[in-house]
Amino acid sequence: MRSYIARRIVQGLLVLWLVSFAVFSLVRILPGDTVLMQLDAAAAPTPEQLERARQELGLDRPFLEQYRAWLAGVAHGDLGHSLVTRRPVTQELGKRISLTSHLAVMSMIVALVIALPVGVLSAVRQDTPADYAGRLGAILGLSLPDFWLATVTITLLAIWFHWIPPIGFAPIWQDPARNLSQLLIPALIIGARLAAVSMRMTRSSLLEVLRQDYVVTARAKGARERTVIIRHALKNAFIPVVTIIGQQFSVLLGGTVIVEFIFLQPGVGSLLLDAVLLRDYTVIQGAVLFFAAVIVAMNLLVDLSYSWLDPRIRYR
Amino acid sequence: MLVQRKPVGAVSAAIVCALIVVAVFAPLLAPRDPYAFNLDERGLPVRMQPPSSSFLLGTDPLGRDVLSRIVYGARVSLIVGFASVMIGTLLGTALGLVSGYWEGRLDQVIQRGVDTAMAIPGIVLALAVISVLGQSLTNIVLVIGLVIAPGASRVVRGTVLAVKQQTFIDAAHASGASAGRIVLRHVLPNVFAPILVIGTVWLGNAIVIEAALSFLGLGTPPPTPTWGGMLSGEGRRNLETAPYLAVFPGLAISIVVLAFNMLGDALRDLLDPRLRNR
Repeated sequence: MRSYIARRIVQGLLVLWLVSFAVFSLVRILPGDTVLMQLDAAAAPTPEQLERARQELGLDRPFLEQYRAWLAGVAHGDLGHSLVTRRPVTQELGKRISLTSHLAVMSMIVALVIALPVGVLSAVRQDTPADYAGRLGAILGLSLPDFWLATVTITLLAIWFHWIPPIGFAPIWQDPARNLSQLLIPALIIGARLAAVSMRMTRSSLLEVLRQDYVVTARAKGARERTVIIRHALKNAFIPVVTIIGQQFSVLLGGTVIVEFIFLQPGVGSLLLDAVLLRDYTVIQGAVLFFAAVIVAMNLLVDLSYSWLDPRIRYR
Repeated sequence: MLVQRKPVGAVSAAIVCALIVVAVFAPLLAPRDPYAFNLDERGLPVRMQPPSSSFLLGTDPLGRDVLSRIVYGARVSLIVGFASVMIGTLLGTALGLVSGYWEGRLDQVIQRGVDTAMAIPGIVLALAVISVLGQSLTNIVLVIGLVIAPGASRVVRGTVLAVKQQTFIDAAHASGASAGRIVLRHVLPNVFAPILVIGTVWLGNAIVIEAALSFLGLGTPPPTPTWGGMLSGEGRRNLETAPYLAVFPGLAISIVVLAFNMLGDALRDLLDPRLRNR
């Protein structure tokens, strides 16, 4: 078991390294010139000024040298400096990681708190109005684009309730009221897709499990229906659900990009968006690395949870 | 037959066909030129008109007919959807086949590449690549195809690994069939069904990603009408005064994606039981 964890961690680090290299090289084939964009266009910079700016930012050195320098920096916790604001990337990220992490966790919790019970109910009461309502909700959650939902929501809230998203982020342990008022609605929107997918998977998985022999046996033994479902069926039904949650997590994180942008929340997602529009190489790298690191960690967690859920699975 | 067994699927298929018809025959179906600034008697643009008999879905701030723009917007959505899914599933299938059939070192290399791509959220990957390649219809199609391919390759690889366990593969080997022949005649047909289901659902997702990119200003450049662009441009800014500008493009996207999702569901249900009996 321990060797499995070790192997997966090494694999994860390898993936992170590959991600960093991919983003690094990608971003440097850029046609748009970030230097030109930053220097005042009206000042019509001379070629010498451009060259000096490039040297300052290290963009004139050969590719591999740039990468080696950047990688060395990363080993020391230095992700370079923003090409736009000149502040360290870690500083730019640091301010925002808390908010995005809050959003991601909250979205997951909200999504699962809604989806899992609805999925179980839907399966247990198959083909009743409750089931149809659940499935309808799920298919809507899958199909309505999150940016549309976010736009409509934020506008309606402004028109009907005169509510605008509060600025000034406070972590939930410091100021829960403010934190929730700021993040709960975006979290609902981001989590909608995960909720839909999880609900459907829970429903179909539970339906299949309930047909299994051991469930029939449990019922034949005279156990109450509730015991049958909770003690025998649910744990096994959740295995594919956990897989799906792991797969959907990256989509969830991606959702933070647009929703943070629409709700004007200063998280890593909106930082990435701004960086993309301004061609801020180093910040783009840092943000993508952050997302990748979180996803790799999540995948590891999902893998580990399998052995708890299904004792038959043993890692060699 | 289809209508009886899966009415929802049949309705979805009908919606998809309608979408294709609308997109292909856009010039015939759109009441007006989507680029034209419609002028009134005084020669001034008919801005921001709510839906009326002359402009069924209203006009935008520049006086363009919303209905016509939505009809033409279907073209972009459809082209992006089908083209990117084609590219993505073809690439994914090829990678998955190679990876799954031959395994070994090549499999490891490909899978690490797939892991890398999947460690980055789709929209993030799309944003990063678009910022490098620049905005254009071709680039968007390529980028979305790139987003689809890794997931598709994993599904194909899984299916190939499962199929390889079957004895008819050994039988084919024993009778001297070459690897290529085995892949083509025995493995590939089994891969077809899962890929079809995935492809259908991804059609909806591709359209949403394109709309999201247009919404963020990184999609098909104006003045080409796209549903996402309409949502972000005129729609967002005027949501209070002219909600119809955002409602209709949003509705268009939602209905189309809904149809593709439900079609995917129906296909999965139809194809699965048959697979299990094999």
